[in-house]
Amino acid sequence: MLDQQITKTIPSNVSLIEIPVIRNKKICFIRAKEKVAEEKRSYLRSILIIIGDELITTNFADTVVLLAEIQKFERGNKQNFYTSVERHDGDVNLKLKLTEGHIYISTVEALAIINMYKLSLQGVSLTRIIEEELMLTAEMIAGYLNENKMLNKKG
Amino acid sequence: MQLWLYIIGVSVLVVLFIVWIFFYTMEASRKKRELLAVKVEDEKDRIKAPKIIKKQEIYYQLNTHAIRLNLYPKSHFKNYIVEEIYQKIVIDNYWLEEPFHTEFYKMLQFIGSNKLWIKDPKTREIIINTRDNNDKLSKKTSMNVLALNEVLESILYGLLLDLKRRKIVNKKDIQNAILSASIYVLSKSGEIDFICQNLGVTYSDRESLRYALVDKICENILLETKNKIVKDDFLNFTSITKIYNEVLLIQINIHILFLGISPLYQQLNYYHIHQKNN
Repeated sequence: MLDQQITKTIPSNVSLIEIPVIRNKKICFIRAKEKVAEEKRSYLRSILIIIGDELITTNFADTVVLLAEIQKFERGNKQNFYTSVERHDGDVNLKLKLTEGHIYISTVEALAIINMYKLSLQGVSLTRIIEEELMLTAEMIAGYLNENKMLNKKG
Repeated sequence: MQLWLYIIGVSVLVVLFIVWIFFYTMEASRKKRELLAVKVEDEKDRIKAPKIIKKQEIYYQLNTHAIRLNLYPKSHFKNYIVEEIYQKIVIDNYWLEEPFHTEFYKMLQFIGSNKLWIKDPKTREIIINTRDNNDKLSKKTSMNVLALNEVLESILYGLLLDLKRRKIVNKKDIQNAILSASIYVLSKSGEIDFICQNLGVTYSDRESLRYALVDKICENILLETKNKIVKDDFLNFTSITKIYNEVLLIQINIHILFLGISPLYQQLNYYHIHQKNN
């Protein structure tokens, strides 16, 4: 209840942009970038991960945890929050649980995700991401989804 | 000379008198014959058919005083759209037949007092995992929905126009069509569990839901008409489904955020983020 009162709208100089990472499995990043006209610089304020019809992480900290789990892959622990390792016919896959069903991530796809993440950090300042992270509430995210017509079915 | 004149005058008078007598007797005889003929006919009729007794015409006094109607108070509706439906369908058309009037009013009252919605056929359900201030995880869903009041309103008006076009004038048929349309819309609602809890309805399948709703909502209506209302091959049912599908495409959607995930949306805990943002 409290988080509604804090902020209800995304500040005007911050833009949320969807970055497709793996199109086959509908894995995307949503990057919040702040542009400051006076300083001629842009700051990264947050990164979220959306898979299919579910926003899995809405914090930068959660995103980092998920990416670390993907990076470590089969060496991951049983304490893994988002993923679990599955072996089948000599193949090792990472099983990512969703509220409805699950998806499998292969080693190559995991590498691609990490590479894409590293690319997404380029050209922006990271000074504001840790202490001044934009805490996106569900209302703000829903408003953003509606404005960009992401709630409409494609095709 | 005077004598001649006198004789001529008297003779003329005599001739005129004779002529008059002749014609008078002719006329009298003719009348007599006619009267006789009429009498004979009358007697024949009397024998054939009994005499028809003429009823005395009764003159009623005009009722000039104001007529009292038993209407439900419009101010009890909590929603103005439902109020308009009641005004336009029941009061304007003067449909105060008793089983229909109360059942329809009860249904409108129920729809008006609860914020019911229908899922937009074009929407995508997106689940959002968020953390609150205490770092507790919670799931919320956001999607586009349509207000059930507005859908019902436009369907009913469309249905009335369609019935006019097909020249169905029978009052009972139209009333049955209206009831079946509103129950069809209720059965399509996104919060069926809430509706069933409130009304005390139990159902097993999605198909048997409409039967259960009719049994509960239209309590005092005869069983024959109840069956007519729910039947899929009912004359008006095809047009109802057609109008429903058309209306859903036109209707303006509301963007809503729910607490929880389907099918356990929490009733009435959603926030209107962008009122009718389209």
